[in-house]
Amino acid sequence: MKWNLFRIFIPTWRFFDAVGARPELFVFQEGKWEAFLEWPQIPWYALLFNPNANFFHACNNLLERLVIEINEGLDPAGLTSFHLVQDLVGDSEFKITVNGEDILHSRRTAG
Amino acid sequence: MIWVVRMISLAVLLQTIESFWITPWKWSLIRDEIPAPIRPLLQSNRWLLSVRLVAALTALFFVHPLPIAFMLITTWGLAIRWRGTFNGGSDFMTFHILAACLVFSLRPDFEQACVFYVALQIILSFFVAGVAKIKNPAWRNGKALAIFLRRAQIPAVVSWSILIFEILFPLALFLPTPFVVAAILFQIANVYIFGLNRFFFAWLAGYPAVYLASGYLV
Repeated sequence: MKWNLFRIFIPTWRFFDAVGARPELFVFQEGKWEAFLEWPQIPWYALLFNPNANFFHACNNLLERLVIEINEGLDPAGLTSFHLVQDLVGDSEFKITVNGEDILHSRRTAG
Repeated sequence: MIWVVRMISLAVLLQTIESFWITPWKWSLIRDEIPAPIRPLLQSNRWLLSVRLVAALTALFFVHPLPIAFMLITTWGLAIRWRGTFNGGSDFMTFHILAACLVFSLRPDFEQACVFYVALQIILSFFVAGVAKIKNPAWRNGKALAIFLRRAQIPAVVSWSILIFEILFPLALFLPTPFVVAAILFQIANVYIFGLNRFFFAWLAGYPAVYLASGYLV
């Protein structure tokens, strides 16, 4: 929690250095799993105004953070990140995969 | 340094207008992570954005500590509301440039120190990114760039051009124009490839400091 408060004071300038599998969010709709976060269209005026892409990156950062927290052995049901993802997808059943492997499944996670 | 203040105010203004179209994380889900004494200040995202908008508009025309302080505090508040930062790098750069601008507005005799602080952050942002990338074999053989650009293959020479540009960026202190021009083109590309528009204006605000620092040194 303290990290959230003071994170902005300590800049990190490592951009795009790690090339690993990124977490993907899927929702179960009409009998099949569908990607929830689609790469947004970049409009011609994106230089000045581009809320969709910025929110897309924020959502991906949230997924990465949730995966890190799960990998640290924390219970997903108790994580704010998990509840934010749950809120993002509404009432849909969801799962997070990394490299095609299920990392988290909402139905198996109490909360 | 006055140009840095004006340009970071423009960056904050554009970020803020854009933020009105972005739904923040639900307050009821994040409130427990925020210390109770500051919760009333952060609860309303629209209130924070409105204060930030007025502060940015004011600072665009009047270099005064008050609007700069409001921009700095609301930038911090919004970062907390997004659980650390909203947009990572651009939030860091905006915050640290604003901090230098606040010091400058309070103590104009510290201008040189403020200029060097902003220039240092700009230079580090490229240099550290370049060093971190060059350590990764996937960046050296071009595979990393191909993954990020969602292409089957990218010639390694393109990847190496980025690495060399970023690692050599400290030379901007002695030869600012080619590096600043290259940086602006690089960030325009990032806007239209990755949608990272906030980086463009935050960094643009710092380039006058690179020129000023260069002038002090050379």
